[in-house]
Amino acid sequence: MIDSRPVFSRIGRRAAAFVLLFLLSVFLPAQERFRRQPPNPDPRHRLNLPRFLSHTLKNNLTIHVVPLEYDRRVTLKLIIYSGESSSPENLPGLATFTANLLDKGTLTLSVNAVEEAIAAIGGEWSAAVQPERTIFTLSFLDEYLDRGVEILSRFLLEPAFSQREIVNLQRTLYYQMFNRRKDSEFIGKNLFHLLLFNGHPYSRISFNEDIFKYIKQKDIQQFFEKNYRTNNASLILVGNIDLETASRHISTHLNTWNPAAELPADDPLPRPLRRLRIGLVDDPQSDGAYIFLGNIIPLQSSLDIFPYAVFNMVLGGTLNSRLFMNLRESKQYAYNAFSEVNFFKNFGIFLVTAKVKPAVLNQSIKEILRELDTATKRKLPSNEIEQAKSYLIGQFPVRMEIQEEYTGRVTDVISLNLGDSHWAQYFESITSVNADNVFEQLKDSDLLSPVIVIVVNADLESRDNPLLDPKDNPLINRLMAEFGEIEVYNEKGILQYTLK
Amino acid sequence: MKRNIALFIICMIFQSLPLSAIQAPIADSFPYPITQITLPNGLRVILSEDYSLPTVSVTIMYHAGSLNDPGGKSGLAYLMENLMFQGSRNVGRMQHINFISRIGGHFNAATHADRLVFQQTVPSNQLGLLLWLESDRMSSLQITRDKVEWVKRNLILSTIQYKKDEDPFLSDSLSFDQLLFADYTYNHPMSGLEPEVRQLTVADVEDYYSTYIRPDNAVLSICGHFEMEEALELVNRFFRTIPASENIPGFPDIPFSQTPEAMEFTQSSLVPSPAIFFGYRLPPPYPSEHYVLTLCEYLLLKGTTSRLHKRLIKRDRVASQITGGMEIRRDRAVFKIFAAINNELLRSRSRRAIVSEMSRLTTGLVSTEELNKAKSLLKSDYMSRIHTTSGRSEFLAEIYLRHGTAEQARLELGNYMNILPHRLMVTANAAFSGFYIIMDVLTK
Repeated sequence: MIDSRPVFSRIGRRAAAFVLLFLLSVFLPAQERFRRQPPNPDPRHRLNLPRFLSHTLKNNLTIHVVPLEYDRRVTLKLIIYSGESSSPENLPGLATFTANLLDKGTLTLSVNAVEEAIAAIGGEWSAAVQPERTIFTLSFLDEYLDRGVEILSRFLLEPAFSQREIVNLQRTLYYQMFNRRKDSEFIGKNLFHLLLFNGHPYSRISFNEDIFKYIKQKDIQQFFEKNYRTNNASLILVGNIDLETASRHISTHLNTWNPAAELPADDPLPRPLRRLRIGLVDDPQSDGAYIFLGNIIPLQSSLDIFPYAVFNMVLGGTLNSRLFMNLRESKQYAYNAFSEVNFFKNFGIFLVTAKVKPAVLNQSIKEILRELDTATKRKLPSNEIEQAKSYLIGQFPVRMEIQEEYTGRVTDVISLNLGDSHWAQYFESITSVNADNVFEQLKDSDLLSPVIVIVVNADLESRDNPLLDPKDNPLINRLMAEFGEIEVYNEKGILQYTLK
Repeated sequence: MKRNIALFIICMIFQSLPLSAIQAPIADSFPYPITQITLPNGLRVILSEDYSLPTVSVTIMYHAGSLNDPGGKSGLAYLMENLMFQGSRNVGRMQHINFISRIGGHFNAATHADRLVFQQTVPSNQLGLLLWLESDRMSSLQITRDKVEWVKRNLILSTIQYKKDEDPFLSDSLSFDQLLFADYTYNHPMSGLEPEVRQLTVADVEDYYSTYIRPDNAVLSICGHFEMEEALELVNRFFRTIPASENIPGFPDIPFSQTPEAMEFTQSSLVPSPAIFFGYRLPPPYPSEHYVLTLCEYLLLKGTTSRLHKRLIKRDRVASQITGGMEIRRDRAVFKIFAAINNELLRSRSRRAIVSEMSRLTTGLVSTEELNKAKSLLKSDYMSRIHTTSGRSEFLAEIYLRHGTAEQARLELGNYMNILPHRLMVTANAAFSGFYIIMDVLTK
């Protein structure tokens, strides 16, 4: 048979492409070969982190020092091993209030004098309250070590807790929290913790601003007396400093701070949720549908942290992780989709957060659950595990450059009892993670029966028809058809009704 | 009269002091080695080793910015910055970011009036990767119409909109910049004016790229954990053969004009509260007194113990927010203050309070205690910056552009710490005794 196609076609497209490439290579300027590919990395340099040096004073206060040469700022962290879970059941928020009041004047220094004293040492002060601990941070120039410790001692030994400052703080914290309620993410995370801890003392972390007006001076004093004690605290100093010098200054200023005769009892460990639970907040100001999905993960040992950290990177830790690539890049359901894992003493919280288009809310939740299902039923591919490990190993020293990150890590190691090896052998611990031990952790976890919190403008109290049954709302209707029962909360986390 | 005579005497004493008397280096203010070389193509390279952590930072700073936006083409430098991530001959679109984030690194980029900054930090064994990435986009950025339009639409115009949504005072702030900086070259917004951005073309970007993104218009700064010999080999390999421009136009030369008298303006806006913008044009030459004026910024505006915060927010309770400070756009500097005031009835009291505090600084000596507090806060910020390899590499590149040598970094902290109350008062007097510009913003 005679081929009637033109000669050029007969030669074939492949040959034509070859000719074109040849011509291009002749007429375009040649490129140096080394520019074509990135160079191979060198062998990884060893990470030599300084050891923690510890000393316990006669009054039972334990000091930990991490010397950092060249850093002319000292960061001092005071950990009180009581957090919001130690607030009375009828007064959640008391731990937060007490912590925020600590720098608002002492018996010998007014609020203004405290601010001046901190500024004079180039310092900054902050307080953070978590369910099981309270962390104060005072950073300052190392030449003012003695003054820094002295300021802290004034807070601890002669707090004023004056009525005037209590009223001021009630007003300040009320408006701070009131304003944060305009933020869908804040509303969602608050409700997530409330439902996740479900009556456990840790759920007191999710209080609302109405509580502040009930806090009285004597509540604060009692809370302080009970929890702010040397044997319920640790002091950490990071910077260009040695243990002996630090101990001397701290002993001088804090030797009269006393231990408690009896320490507050430890809270029982919170348990993972065993059935899916959905909470919904109808937020008219929400500019998308916000999803918070997660559960508690029990930890048998501090080594369990590493497989979870690697899994988190595979699932949703970065822009290249599965959730982002699937929900945003591939399906275009989401503005963003990430996961995070936070560790507490002997347990962790695995959480997926996503902001999606309301029209595809159901599909997005199903996709997140499908990703979790896949990960808990099949071993993750080695290449993804290795990619995640490479990220974590690279990121660790990069983040440790920032002193706040560095001291945050030290604080976690000490307050969560992770042990020296967690710190010194971080690279080795991450390197030893493989598909098997990630799967071992995931297969028995309860990630598939999570708490799901949704914050969305659902238009439940329809402007057009206030008598509309919420079940007739198309968004609720679809959610109920897919997931069953839905608890509806207001933006303060108060249950309004349950739709069954 | 007596006060003026005293001030004159102080001025005379101060001016007769030799510069060396006020420029002593402070021990440990920059405790890192500095090596500087220049490649045959004009690329200036700064290297500073530090083995405390296995990380390395690379900053590349091009000596061009929004001041080089031609008239009617505002936003061009910012567009250039964003296009630098859209692929070069051997690096695909957005791959630059992917390469860095996959290995746990972080990156940053910024457009200033007189510089474009690209900065990244990675594990130290990946220095070669950073230099390969930077050299590829310096030598062979792939600029296409699609990319330019995509960046304009999805990054530049959306950023402009986002900023407007986030900051209700933004348009007032830009209006105030126009009053303070007077000339379009200096006062147009870095991210551009929306209609002008829409008109930017591939040819504009290609022209900017071929003119300014050249080795002889750049400083490359490497800080962290590396072996000098290996680093130099990598720098040579990736950058030495990139051709120089040899014909880089300087920055526009526009004469400074001081305000002939105090200027007052009023405008109404959709803002949550009434506000006052208050500022001074600071006469050149820059940067002779910018160290002193930066310290004035700390005294007046840094933190809750600063003079203006204490006066307007704590004592008089006329304002809810007060911010500001020195702003330098190459050879132009201004000092500006923004106050969100509690209600319209408090406007004149707020204005009087600001003027009174500025006047106090120009006519009275600051106490040693207060001055030391400002120095401590400044030193803390300085230490915080140079502690990270990323902060340090950018700092060294900036110092190089400003002084022509990175060694000047060792004197930088001393330039602040050696300032005495007399010098501060004299400098403040010269800077803040002239006419101010004030813009009242009323709520619509």
